[in-house]
Amino acid sequence: MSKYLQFDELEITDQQLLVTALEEDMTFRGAGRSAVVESFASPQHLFGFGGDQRPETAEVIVRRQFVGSAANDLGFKRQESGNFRPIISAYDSRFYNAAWLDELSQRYGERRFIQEMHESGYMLSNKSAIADGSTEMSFVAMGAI
Amino acid sequence: MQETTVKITIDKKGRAKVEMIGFHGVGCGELADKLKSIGRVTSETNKPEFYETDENTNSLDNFAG
Repeated sequence: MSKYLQFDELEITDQQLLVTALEEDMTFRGAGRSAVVESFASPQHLFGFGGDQRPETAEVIVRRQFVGSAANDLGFKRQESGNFRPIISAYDSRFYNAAWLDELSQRYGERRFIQEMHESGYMLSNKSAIADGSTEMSFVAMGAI
Repeated sequence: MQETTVKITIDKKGRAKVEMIGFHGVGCGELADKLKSIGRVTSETNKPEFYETDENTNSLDNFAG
C-alpha cells in the first residue's frame, strides 16, 4: 500500500455530474427517480408553490412539480469558489434535509471519482454498498486487464 | 510487480477515503494530486513504498513525488 487520502467533504463543482446524480440517483417526492433537472449556463429564477417568481436564482433547478405537492423549486447555485450551494425552502427542507443532501454528496462523489479515475487510466472493477450505507469502489489500471 | 489498485470508500455523509495499493515512485503522487481536487483533504499518509524507485523510472523523477 502506498498512500491514503481522507476527505471530510466532497465539493460539488461539476454541473453535469450534479445534474446526472439528481436525475438518476436521487428520489423526489413528486417524481420518484424520474425528475427532470434543468441546467443553465447562467442562473435563472426559482418559482414558489403558487407560481410566484422568487428572488433566488440557480444554475441547476428541479421544478416544483417534481419536488412534491405544494413544493417550491429546488436549486443549486454556483458560488465564487466554484462549488454549488443548495437553495431549499424551509417547507421543502423537511424532506430535502441534511440526510438527503448527504446522500446527494455521496452519489455525486461516486460519479466524480469514477470519472476522474477513468481519465487517469483506471477502470471500475467493483462497486458495492456495505452495511453502514457506505459505497466501496475498486479500480484497476486499464492496461492491467 | 504488484498490480496497482485504488480502493475508494464514500460514507453516508459524503466523506471519502482513498487507499492506493501497489504503487511505486511518482505515479502515486501524480494520481493523488488529481484526486485531491475532488474535495477537502484532511489527511494524507504516505506508505514506505511511496518513496521507492520504479525500476523503469529515472531516479530524478522521485524528487517530484
